[in-house]
Amino acid sequence: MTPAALYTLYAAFVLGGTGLYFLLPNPDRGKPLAGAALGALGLVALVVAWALIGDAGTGAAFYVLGLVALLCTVRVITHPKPVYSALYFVLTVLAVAALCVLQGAEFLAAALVIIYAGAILVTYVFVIMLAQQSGPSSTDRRSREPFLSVCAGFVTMAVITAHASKALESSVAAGGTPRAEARLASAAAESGAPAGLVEDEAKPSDDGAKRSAPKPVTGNAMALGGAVMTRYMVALQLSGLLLLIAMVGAVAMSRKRVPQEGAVSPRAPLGQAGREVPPY
Amino acid sequence: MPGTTEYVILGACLFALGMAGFLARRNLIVMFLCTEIMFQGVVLTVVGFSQLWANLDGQAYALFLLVIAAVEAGLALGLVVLLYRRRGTLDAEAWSVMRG
Repeated sequence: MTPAALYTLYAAFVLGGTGLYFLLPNPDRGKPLAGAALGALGLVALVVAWALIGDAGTGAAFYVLGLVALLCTVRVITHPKPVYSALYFVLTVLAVAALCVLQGAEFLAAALVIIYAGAILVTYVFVIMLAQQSGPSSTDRRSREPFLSVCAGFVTMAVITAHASKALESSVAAGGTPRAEARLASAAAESGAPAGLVEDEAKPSDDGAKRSAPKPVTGNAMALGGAVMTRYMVALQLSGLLLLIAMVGAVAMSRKRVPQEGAVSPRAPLGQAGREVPPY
Repeated sequence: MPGTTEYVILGACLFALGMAGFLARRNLIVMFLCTEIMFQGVVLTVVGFSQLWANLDGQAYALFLLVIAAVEAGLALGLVVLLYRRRGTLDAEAWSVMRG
């Protein structure tokens, strides 16, 4: 990464961070318009930095999807209504899934859409309905330490970016990385399944691929399945166990009888709960 | 490098935005949404590295990350409902009993 690109990137972070500070819900200092203008400038600077880096392999689709993901993420953070935050999060997930497709991770993209947009988001919306607060409460209208949190977030961003770009350059300079032309084929070969699973199952699709077009011998889903079922078998079993434990824990938690807390001075009547936050 | 730098930068942006939101917002549900955004950033980063090194380790890692995200969402939302039933508010500040 050239110094010009790096400094443009830092300028984008500063602009974006300042914009986010003004965009965060805050009745006293929130200036949404100024924040939006600064954030837009930051996004423009980010696009310029991306163009300056100018790797091969990123086209207009990357810019569009990246901007959609960033804008929707900012709306998730800044929207005062949790339901809208959840809906914007769906858009972020869809953009990330499309970006995964651009990088050749089709199965992961499908899994992201099905699990995130399909299952996890439904759970979130259910909980938002269960824990309904009447109208935007002060919880959502006032941020907690917006300046410090924005500083923490954007300094983290700058540090990760600088170090990652440096590490990428040194690794490429040291040994070079295999280019991804024959990525799928080589990935299937080196996924740790020399015999059995992958090769046996690869044959039908192999024939089909030859008939239709000279494409890679295995698809991404098959290669990933081979890797997960062989090299990552223990991790796969452990994640199943983890899901079981989480399910048992969630059931135990939801069956728990909730004590009425005496410390909370007179409990608000039904429907009024959560409208005001008592000073704890 | 097939666009890996851009992916890492975008992943870092998503991660840091999620972190800023987690620290800034007070609504418990939005805080957990922000952790999911941090997961998205990590997914983008590992997918980019997976493409760079032309193997599937990054994608397999992202798949297990999805498992962790599902577990986290299930447990965290159960906890949120439990906390909401106790205090009648989603404000995270309502639980800052150990503040000095």
